[in-house]
Amino acid sequence: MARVPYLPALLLALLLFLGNAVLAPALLDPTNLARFLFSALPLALLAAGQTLVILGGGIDLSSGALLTLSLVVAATLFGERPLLAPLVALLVAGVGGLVNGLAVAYLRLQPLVATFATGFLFGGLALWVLPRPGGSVPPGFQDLFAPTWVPPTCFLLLALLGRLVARSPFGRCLYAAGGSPQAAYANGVPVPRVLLQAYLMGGLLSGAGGLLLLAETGTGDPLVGQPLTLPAIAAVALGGTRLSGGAGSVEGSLLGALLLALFRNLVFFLGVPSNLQLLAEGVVVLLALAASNTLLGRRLWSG
Amino acid sequence: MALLEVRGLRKRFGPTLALRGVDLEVERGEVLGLVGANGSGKSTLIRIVAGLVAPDAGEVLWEGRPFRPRDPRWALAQGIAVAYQEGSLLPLLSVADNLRLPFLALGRPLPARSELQSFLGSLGELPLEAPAGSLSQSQRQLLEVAKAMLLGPRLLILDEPTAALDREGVGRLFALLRRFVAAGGTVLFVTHRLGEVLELAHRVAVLRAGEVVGTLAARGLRPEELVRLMAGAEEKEEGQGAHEGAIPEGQPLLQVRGLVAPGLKGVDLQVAPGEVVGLGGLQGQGQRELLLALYGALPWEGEVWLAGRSVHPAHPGEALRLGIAYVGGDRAALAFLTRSVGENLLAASWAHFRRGPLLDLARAYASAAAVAKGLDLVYAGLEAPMASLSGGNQQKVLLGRALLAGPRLLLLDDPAVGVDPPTRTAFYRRVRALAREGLGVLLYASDEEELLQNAHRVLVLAGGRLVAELRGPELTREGLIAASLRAGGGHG
Repeated sequence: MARVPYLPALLLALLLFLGNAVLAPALLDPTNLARFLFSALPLALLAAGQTLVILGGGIDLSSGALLTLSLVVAATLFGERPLLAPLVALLVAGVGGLVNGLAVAYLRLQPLVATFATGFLFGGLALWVLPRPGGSVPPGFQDLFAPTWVPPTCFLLLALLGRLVARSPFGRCLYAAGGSPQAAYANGVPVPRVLLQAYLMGGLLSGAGGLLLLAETGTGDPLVGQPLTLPAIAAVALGGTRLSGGAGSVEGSLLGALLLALFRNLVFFLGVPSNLQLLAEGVVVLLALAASNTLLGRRLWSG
Repeated sequence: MALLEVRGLRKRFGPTLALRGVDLEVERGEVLGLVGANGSGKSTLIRIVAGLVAPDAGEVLWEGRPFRPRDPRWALAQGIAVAYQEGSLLPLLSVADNLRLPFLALGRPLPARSELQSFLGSLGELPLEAPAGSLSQSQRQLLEVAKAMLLGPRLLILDEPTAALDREGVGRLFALLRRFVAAGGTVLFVTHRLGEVLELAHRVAVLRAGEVVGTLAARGLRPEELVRLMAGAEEKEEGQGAHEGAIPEGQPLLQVRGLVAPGLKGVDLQVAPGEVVGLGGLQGQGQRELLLALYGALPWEGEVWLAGRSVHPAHPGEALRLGIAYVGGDRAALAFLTRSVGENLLAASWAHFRRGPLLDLARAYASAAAVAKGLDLVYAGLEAPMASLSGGNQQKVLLGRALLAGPRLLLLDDPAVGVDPPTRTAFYRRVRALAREGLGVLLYASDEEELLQNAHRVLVLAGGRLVAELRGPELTREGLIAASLRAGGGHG
């Protein structure tokens, strides 16, 4: 059990899927399933990026804002330069990740506060680029994600990316740096560089999340991403990643994101009043975390 | 030309001058022993050579060329590998991943699994896939050594590699080191075990208060001479032999019947007030689990009476309230290194210093200062950070923490591991004095000398059971070894 820390998330996700299948069977239709997965992708991308940062012992409170920034940049540019727009959006997101990485790994600022601040920075830039909802998306871009096989493939690619990272030299060094930076340093691991790379990849994944959300909604909204930051962190925790770093997996976080999305879908179909949805979500996240801790047998001190 | 030469190395940490001009040469192909009391600067010297700490003044020459390792990566790339006493393992990574990490960091091809396996086989049993954090202290130590040796370094620095090893482990390690040196390797061997350093080293350098006070050929050297050089003044290790005193009589303070816990298969024992009871045997036979169970840190079943009252501590807080205190040798886990000495002393006893809803800090700190004084603590003040203390003094703080909780029973879990002989002597002098005041003590120590010198009687464990009890004239090194091995089965 301890070797597969995302097993509880997997079980819960299956349980919720069954719940959906019984109470909201429309989800089982391939088109609806693809649409559901597509809508869960931005959260999954944020969670994947967040996982890398958290594995390295950090946290990124700016990821939702960075998603917004990339989204509005793309939405603004799509009208004039349809081919360049996504690239520039990703470039901006990468720079955002680098700023986070420099602040945390080289300036040694506390990640929680540093990314809280850069979150406002990115959010402010997004409002400056696009003060009110607008912008446009060429239909061709949205069509890219229309085939039913695309969203599941995106999930599989993300899982593959997680696998690759975990097996790469960078990934092994990231786990080491997050587990104990001093020990990693003593073993010759270039800790600041590894953390910088993690924040950079986190930024790029947030940027990709922005592009997908734009493809889904079809319009630029300068406030759309921020509410996703904390659910993404919850997805990481639900997926069995230690929030203090050094242990966990991207695959687990993807399951965590799916789990949250499945729950929202269920609540929506059950017609729970919207003011109670948040309450229900909070209770479920707490229960899920408690269940996985119990299943994994985590203890305070075992001597 | 020496392989490594150190000239006039100085380093200051805040108010403490750790090194005040160290000169040292390590010749190619030799084993140079480095001994010194805790706080004499051994660790700082190693850390400078390894690139973890930058010196304030002086220089390091590697093959005659000035060399200023900027970070550990650089020193590793030059062929300087350190087996640290603790702290360079990643507890969440597997043994195999820990072994591979320096290769990854240096961008070298990774050793194959089979290579890891055969290399570990020559050192001792280590499960390749287990997380390093689940290993015992002796296994962790072997892993540190294995990690450094696997890199094939030109200079291997070993910081207290045997502190948590038993005889068998030491034998295997020494055989491996002799082969390493025969193949042209060079070793700097830092230790408190003077017998071992004389057995292995060609020369021995003695550090005292941040200076090398002598470098002697090991042949024909006697441990007493080294101790004299280390201490400066005449200071003999006290072989008081607690067991020669009268064994206290009367109602047992602690009575244990049929205690079953992970690693323990039913243990009965008694401790009288004023008695120091040792736990012996090979390593990992349940000694530590017994102490942790009594401290409520492991789930257990059975019957325990403390001063005639049936008790069942389910967690350490409850054990402390009952008057059971624990002092372990795993400082990394038990000390709050970034907090002050005062807070570390008071960590288990704040509840005693309540005044209404708040704390009476003046009274708390006065008590802490009194305890620190009783322990002859060497420190800059209660506000000094714990990390500024030497290992031996940190250990005294942990003992002080236990004492402030007002215990009736003291559980000592290898409390002097990696502590220099003079400080260890002082530590146990205090423990014996506490026993004379009526405290009961259960003591586990990986060094059997510590048991023999300080326990009234020794219970030998094997496979989670008590297999022998030694007292009076049976309490000898030979008797203890024979009883541990006679149990058989457990070792391999």
